[in-house]
Amino acid sequence: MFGFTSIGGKIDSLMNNGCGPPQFILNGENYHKIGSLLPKNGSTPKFAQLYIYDTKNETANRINHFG
Amino acid sequence: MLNFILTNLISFNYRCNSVFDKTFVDDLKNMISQHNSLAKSFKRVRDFTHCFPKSDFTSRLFRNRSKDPRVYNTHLVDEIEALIVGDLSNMEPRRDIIVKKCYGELTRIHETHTSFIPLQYPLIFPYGEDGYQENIMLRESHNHSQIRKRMCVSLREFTTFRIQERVVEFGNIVNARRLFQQFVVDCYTMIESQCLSFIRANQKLIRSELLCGLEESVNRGETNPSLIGRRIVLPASFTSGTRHMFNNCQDVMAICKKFGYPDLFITITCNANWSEIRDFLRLKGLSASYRLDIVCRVFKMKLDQMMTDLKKNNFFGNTNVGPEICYFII
Repeated sequence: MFGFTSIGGKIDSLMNNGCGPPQFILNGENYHKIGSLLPKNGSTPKFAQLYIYDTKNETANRINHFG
Repeated sequence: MLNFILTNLISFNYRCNSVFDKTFVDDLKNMISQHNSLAKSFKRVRDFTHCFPKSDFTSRLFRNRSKDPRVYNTHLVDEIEALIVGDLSNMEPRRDIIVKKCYGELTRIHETHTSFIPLQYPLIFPYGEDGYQENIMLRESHNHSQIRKRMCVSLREFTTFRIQERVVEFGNIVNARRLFQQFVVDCYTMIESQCLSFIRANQKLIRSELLCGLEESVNRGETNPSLIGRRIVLPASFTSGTRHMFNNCQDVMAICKKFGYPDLFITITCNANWSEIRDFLRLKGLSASYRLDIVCRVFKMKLDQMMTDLKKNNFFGNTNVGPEICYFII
């Protein structure tokens, strides 16, 4: 929610179904990516853009990602 | 420092329907924007866009600081980031992060950039502390026995240094629960990708032309070498690679040939309810799955003790030198 970058590997969340301890499974090559400073027209702000774009509704924007 | 209750919800890409506490998110947001130097630098970009909405600009996150970050630890925004107005097409980025104003695609960050980890985990590094740098020197005291080839701290050493528990710090990393798991996996992939890129760049060092069968084919007199060999050869020193596994298998065969077949085949598994682990975690109020470092450490200590019992203390009588093959099932 607060990260500036996006994690690049494929995250496998199938095992996190409430049974057993939580696990973090990541497949493939992992890399971090950073987007541009402003979102493209019409798209919602992501990652670092949340700190720059539409900061009046910053909290709402952050929560909406998980809605 | 605020609690990490929220990290439960936000660390993984979780399909959760729970409602976030808005005030809590607000508090965390304010904390980050007040103290995190990376957030501050992005806020500066925001102010700039408000003043000059039309201008084209780019933000550049520097890779190395001019001052030593471990001496002058409160770094200024200017040291981290520069805003560049105008055309940048002829600028050579080296390994700094260049963030363009409006660009559809995501740009990849090099894993040895010092802000690589703090950019991803602002809750673990609330001040935007620096991550690994390639030029951290080893201390002189490590130097006594022989001349070292490597003078700088490796990424692995740096990471293991960071994930320890200390009296002087709160332990943001080790108490971050699921975020800690993600952090460890992330750091491990960093180490591995650094290792792989070293192998890729040093194929001559491992004499890959010998390994991939080029020389044999030349000796056989083949003239068209495009079908033979492969571009990059993983050496046997790369753990869990094909050559590494094959070498292990060959070693086992050789040992069996010399000493005979094994008498015992011992499998030791780790139990998260071992009293050593339980007693430690009870004080912290965490469960074993959140402190994998402790679980692994206890397992290693027990494993070592078992090997000493068998080999030095002669639990089963005298032993030949046997293979130490160990299967990890955690």
